[in-house]
Amino acid sequence: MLRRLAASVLLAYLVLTLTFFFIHLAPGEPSVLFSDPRINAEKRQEIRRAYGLDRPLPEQYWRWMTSVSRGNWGISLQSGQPVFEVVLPRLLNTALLVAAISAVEYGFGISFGVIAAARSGTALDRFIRAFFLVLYAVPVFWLALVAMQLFSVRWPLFPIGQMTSHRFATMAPWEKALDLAHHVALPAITLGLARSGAVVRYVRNGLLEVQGKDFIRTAHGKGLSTGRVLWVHALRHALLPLAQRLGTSLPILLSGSLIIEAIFSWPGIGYQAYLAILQRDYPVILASTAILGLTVVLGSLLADLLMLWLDPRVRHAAT
Amino acid sequence: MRQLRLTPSLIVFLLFVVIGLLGPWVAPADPNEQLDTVAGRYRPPATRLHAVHFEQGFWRLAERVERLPEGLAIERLGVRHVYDAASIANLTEDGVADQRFYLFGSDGFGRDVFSRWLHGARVSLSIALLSILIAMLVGVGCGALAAMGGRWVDGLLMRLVDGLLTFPWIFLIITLGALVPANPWSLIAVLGATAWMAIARLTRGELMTLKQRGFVLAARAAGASRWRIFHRHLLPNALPTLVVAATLRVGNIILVEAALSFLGLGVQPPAASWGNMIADGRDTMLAAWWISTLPGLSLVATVLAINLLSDNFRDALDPRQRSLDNLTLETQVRC
Repeated sequence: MLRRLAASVLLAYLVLTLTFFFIHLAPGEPSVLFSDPRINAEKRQEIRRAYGLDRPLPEQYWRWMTSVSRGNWGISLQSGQPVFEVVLPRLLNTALLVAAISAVEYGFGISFGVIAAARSGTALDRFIRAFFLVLYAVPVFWLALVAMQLFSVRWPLFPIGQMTSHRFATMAPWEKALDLAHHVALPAITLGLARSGAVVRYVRNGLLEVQGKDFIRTAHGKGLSTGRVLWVHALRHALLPLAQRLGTSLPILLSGSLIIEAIFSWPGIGYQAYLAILQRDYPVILASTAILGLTVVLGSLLADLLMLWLDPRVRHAAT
Repeated sequence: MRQLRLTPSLIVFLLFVVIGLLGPWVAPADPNEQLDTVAGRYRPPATRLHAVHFEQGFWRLAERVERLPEGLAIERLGVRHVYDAASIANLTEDGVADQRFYLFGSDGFGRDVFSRWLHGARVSLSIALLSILIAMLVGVGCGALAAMGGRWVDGLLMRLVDGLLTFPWIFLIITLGALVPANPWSLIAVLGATAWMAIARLTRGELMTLKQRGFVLAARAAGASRWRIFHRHLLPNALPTLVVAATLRVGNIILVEAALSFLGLGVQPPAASWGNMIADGRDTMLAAWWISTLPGLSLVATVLAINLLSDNFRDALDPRQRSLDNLTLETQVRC
């Protein structure tokens, strides 16, 4: 366990170090990234001094590490606010979206995976597998556009983008929750459905794998119904790799959420980074990427802890 | 290794490659040609228009032309105009010499969607292939170095890979992309520079497993050098798996490039790419569905074919191989 924790700390350190390298990878002069590129040489020297870019590299590295570990990520060129204050609330919005996406992804994936396994070899199984396989190849940004045009424009069931309605501030708490759910539904269903193909495959393969195992035969022998054996005994076994996957697929999920956020104007960290690109606000881009890197480190640590709690085999191996 | 058959997925993939290679030569029109922005825009698929070339140099597109004794009557956007023969440059016996046939319709600027689609295939294909080439070179190189170079090199390189894999791919691309000028070459470089990590990890894993196999131990006992073991025994055996991994990444890189171009961060207009064609049609999806639907469907078909193809490859290599199964599912960014 201590080893795992140490690995996470090392990874977090690596993320910050690599981020430092990204700044200095800039062709020519890193100060260009932190200011308007058109300013004159005198002003540029001032900025170089302000950011400490005129110091020797090891000293800059030390300053970078100490300042980011205190939450100081620089100043947004666009808004003039500290970057951390710009990015942090966005991170929470992204967390909400990502949670909703995962709920849809695992909800659909597990249900259809179990159905496919229960009816394995039949036309229904083949149809489910083919459907999710095709869905897995559909570009999410295009699927999102189509969904938006159909369900927000043609038949206005869902709002067009954004996270809240205009009168959100004056709403009662339960109304707020409802409003958020209404806004999160379409983006979550789009990306969740597009991602669920992998889950279907995991669950189906996992269930078929345990089919002949002793504990399944025992459950059948106890006289339990086929449905109960499948949905409780076998499924619990097939879900374990999914718990592991929660951590490993987080960076990929966050990549996808940038696209979804940009299309639905969801005020998350991905949309923020997208706007920052268009405005060439490099400190914000850099901080978004680095903070997401750190989030991934934390997320995979939590997923491993979850595994430890869920799977007695892992628990015994660890102690 | 079983024989590879000519499956539908292989046919679709080959079709994509052929379109990408030949596309620009068979394209009926210049992908950026805007003969008549007003009468030429938002024409549905399979529209045939007459292109009237006026002496002053400009063009007008007309649904119908009728040769009159004194000149030409045209019907443009449902309105009839009559011009005398001297003002038209491409007049013939029964109309005008030029026509435009919009197989996939035209977009909001009156450009031919079919020609743009052909050019876009070339862009997608070449960007994906070149960046996967870079990713393969760096990834296999780094993985081999880690597997052959001893504990310290291995530890250092693999921590670098771990660190880079921690960043979400798209964010890594935009962070590095903001440092370089916006052109196709930097796009290729950035995609290649951010796609090699999974390949490096896979290469290292494969080589490490192979190193324990009997024939490698035998070669080592016979006194073969490290380099000879690597390029005679290890690499040839690891290569099939690596090729499958690369094929798979191609499908994903095509999607990522399309997504970036869609957001305006990839291939810059007016150059056509399937991604920015979808962006062109995003506001008129219901009224002029063809602009974004056809590139969208083409992306689905191509990526599906590549995914199926790498599944086939994997089965052909070894049906029980789990390392690749995980790769199939897990390293694909859905975007």
